[in-house]
Amino acid sequence: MREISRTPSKDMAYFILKRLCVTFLVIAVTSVVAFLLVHLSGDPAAAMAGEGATESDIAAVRQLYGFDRPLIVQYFDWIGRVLQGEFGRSYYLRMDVSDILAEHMPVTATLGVLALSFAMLLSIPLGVLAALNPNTLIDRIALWLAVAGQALPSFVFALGLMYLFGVYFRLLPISGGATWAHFIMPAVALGYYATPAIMRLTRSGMMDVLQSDHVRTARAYGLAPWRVVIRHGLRHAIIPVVSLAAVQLGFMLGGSIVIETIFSLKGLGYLAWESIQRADIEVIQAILLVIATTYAFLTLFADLLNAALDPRIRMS
Amino acid sequence: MKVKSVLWAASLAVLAASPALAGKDNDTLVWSTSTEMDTPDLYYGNQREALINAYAQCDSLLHRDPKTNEYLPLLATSWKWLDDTTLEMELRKGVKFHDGTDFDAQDVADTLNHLAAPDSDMKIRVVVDWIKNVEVVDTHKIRIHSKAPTPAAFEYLSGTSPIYPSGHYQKAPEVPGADGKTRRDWGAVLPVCTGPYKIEDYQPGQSLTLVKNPDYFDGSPKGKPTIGKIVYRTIKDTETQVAELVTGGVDWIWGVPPENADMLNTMPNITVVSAPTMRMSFLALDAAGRTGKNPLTDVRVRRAIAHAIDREAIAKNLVGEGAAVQKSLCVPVQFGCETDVTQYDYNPEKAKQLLAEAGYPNGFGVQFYAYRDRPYSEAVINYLRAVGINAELQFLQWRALRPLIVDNKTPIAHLTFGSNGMLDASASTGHYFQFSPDDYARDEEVRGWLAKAEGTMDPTIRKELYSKALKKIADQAYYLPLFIYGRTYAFTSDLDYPLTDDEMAHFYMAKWK
Amino acid sequence: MTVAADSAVPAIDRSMSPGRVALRRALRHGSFWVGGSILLAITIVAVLAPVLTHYDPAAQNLTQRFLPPIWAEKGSWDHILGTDNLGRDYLARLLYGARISLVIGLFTVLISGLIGTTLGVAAGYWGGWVDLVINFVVTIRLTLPVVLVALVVVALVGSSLSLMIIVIGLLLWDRFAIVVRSATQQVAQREYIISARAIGSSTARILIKEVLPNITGPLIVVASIEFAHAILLEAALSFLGLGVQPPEVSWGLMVAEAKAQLLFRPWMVAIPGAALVALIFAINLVGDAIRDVTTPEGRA
Repeated sequence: MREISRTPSKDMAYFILKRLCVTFLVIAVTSVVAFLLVHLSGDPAAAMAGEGATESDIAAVRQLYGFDRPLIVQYFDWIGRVLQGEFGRSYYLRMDVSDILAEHMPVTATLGVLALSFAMLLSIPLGVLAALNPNTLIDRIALWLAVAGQALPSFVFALGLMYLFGVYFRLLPISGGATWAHFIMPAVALGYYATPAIMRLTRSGMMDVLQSDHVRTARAYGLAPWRVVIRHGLRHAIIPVVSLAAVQLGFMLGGSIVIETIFSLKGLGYLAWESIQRADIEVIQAILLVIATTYAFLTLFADLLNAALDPRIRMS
Repeated sequence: MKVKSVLWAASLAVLAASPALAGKDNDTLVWSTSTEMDTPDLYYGNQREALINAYAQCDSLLHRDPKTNEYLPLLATSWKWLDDTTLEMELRKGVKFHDGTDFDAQDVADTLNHLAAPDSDMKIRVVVDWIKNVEVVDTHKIRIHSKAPTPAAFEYLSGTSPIYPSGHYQKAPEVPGADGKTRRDWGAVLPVCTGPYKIEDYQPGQSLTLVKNPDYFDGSPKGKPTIGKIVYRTIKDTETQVAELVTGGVDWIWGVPPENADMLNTMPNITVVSAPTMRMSFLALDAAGRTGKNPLTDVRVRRAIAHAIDREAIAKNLVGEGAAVQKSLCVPVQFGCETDVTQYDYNPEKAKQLLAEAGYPNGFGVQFYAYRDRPYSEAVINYLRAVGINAELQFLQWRALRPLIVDNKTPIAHLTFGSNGMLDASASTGHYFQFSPDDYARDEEVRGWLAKAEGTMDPTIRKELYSKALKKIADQAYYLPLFIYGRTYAFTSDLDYPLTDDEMAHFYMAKWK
Repeated sequence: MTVAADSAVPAIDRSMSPGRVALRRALRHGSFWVGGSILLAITIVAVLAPVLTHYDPAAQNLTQRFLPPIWAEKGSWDHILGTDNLGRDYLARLLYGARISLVIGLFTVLISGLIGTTLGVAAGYWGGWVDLVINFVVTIRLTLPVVLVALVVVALVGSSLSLMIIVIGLLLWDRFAIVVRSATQQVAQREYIISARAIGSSTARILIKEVLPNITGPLIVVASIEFAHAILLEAALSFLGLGVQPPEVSWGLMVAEAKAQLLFRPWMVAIPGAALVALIFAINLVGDAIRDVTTPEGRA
């Protein structure tokens, strides 16, 4: 503790630098894992050549795409191209992977943001409500409402929504992503899964704040409860929630496969599943890398946010 | 680098105009399947969806009538074999491509010669590998020189060989290949054809829009197109497809499970029908012992397996309307398909008896590989279990299964084969019994017969040889034919849809009621 | 005296052993009773399945497909819940399915719990480089989306029950690691622990006697979350065609197989679906109860 020259901003700078290094290292290792996963799993040439193909058809494909080279060579070939901004080409869709990603990413991003917004709109009020009435029936019900969303497999929930609001009531469009209305059911189906975590965190954060001296004093002075909640409570409680939300967004990127498949939303999750099935190597690798990078940066953002609020974290 | 395009695509994707409205009122037929088309060019993509599209958009030299299976003149008006390896064809005059250029002999030669070249990269080489070269005799006459006598030539020239304009493939982009080299992506060129419909829009992996070609030539066996627009959309989930069909977002789907077909049919705005197909489902057994020492090398064990399975029940109850028990390793409509072969009736007692005779009174354990239609495989496995054969299901994707097959690892594999739509027994027998990696029987005698049958043009001799081969295959129970798939089609009741037995959708012949 | 603790970590009452305190409070907690009894009921049903039904859940009968349950007009007492697409008795499948669902949940939690706790304790106790490396590993695991990795692996290596359990177990340990780490850190910072280490007490002893008992609270909470997570993941894999293989049956598989019947025969989805909901709900209730009793003043 003799570091007289330490200042808060220096701490912060050092912290950011350290975290950035780790983030890049994480992305690098993830790229290797993603590459291995994809290449050690079955024969890509066989998938590309298709079902009715003969052995020579397959061998021709293997040669054409260079699958007969050693894995290390193939890996560095890929990484080299990625660093130059070249993600390769989808052999199946006959498009540049960057173009395909540009088409599919906005869909998933939109879905993720809408889903998260829905989750927060639902869970934050529930969390606040529960925090204001701890250990009462209201508290239990709020918790159960939040948990109910995680109890059913997502595809059942999604299909149920679709049949109810799409087929039976004819209120919402069923598949595709052409308009905002097309995203409503998918967003609800996807967002509902984040509800319990966000709700619980809001609840505990609010309870912490409500018991702090600061708030107790405000209440003792006779400030209306609502005022207290919003001005003092929510403001403080919200920040860990925001960082958790950033992390959840990252999860959604990977977890949207089922929802996108059911609602025929051509996003990254759907693309990833299709690409796995037809061994579209370049696409799968690119997607895993993009998801990993996005997630890594989202967690970095979350960490930085936490560090900005809690000085102790910076020094660890 | 691509940030701008990302943002651009983002706004377009989310705020774009609503999709094509379907149905009679919009004169637009929207059809949907679960598989994304990889390219509309039939030579470079072997999806059934591409085939359906190609029939509507493109013309080949011949047209095989879906009802009578006759070969009719399409882009070729007459033909004759000059000798065993030379086919001379007269071409139709007055036909234009969708881009306005005239159709002539040079187009045929350029298209087929490009594909027949060994480095053309095309997907199913068997369609063009028989061609040595195509010679232009005059503006509307060509000669096709084959490498050897090719009895199935007409099969190859009808439907699955669309003709493109000269220089069509020169538009192919150069794309990165392995090791910094580049290659031409021939399949990336959007087809330009002469058919009843032309392409209006293609979104890879999403949709393909065809519009009526008002200048389609008279006298075509395909008739004249009536429906204004045909739109293809990929909807992966089958329940979503049904939901869209019921609410009118989509006009045609297929693959409705038989147990739901009746209920769907009761809806007034939907019609559900079934038809047989050419796709066979069968068990490949390791008679040759490629996986090592195993019970299946004994013909009694193979016959036992045949007797253990109630094919009738599977076909009738599980696969449903349109399906049929398969008698021989070919489809009855194929030339040379001998169906008068040994049949194994459903007799579990006999199966157990045969197993005991072969030395397995308590059955045995075995790995059972499959890659599609899991309930069918499960049903088969349950029958095997009932006679003591403990089959463990290994359900994999095709690309994981294929290397195992090649690598001598699959004692029992539940496979399907569509024969690429070919009406010739050489399709399945050639693929599975000529000592290729797919051949787990490895019978020299059978191979000999098949090779001879493929090398002669005489139909009588060919029939005889195929009959011998198929009879032996059945007798030795090398591969067990199970059933021939049926297909269920569900579409809006406004559509007058031409139902056919070839697992194809001939939308160009459809009209609104 | 305020405990500026991470919200998931228990404050320690030293007058009674932590276990006793927790147990007493649990017994007074409503959720514990409700959740616990549902869990017990499901377990009993799973164990007694062969007694409750004479049908083999894998026995097919292709002429008796899709028989409706007893309350429909064509239902019969022969098949109380009807039959499925291969003619298998639905009630039998439901009862035996409980076994596999419980087994999947339990064993994946054991595997992921073992991995995560080991890593978490190591990181929290020793800190420094160990902590750094383990954090790194956790981050790597988090950047790879669970479903995609499971898909790639399972799609290619095929899926037997044990393989699936191992794969899922190897993917779900992250929350264990994170929570256990911070709980361990809390404990490790206490004075008597520091002095115990200083005088060279055996590490094993400290870990077993002091650290482990104090992290069981949050550990059980995470276990309940991951239990539900594992079961739902298995259902999602079944939906994508890569879940449990025959002749085994799980509720996740039943729901996935019945998906095509959602419009025409909704009970086929509703029945196993309700079972899943009940199980997960029960686990959550028990987990919540345990969390509430291991934190002061009922804070979450």
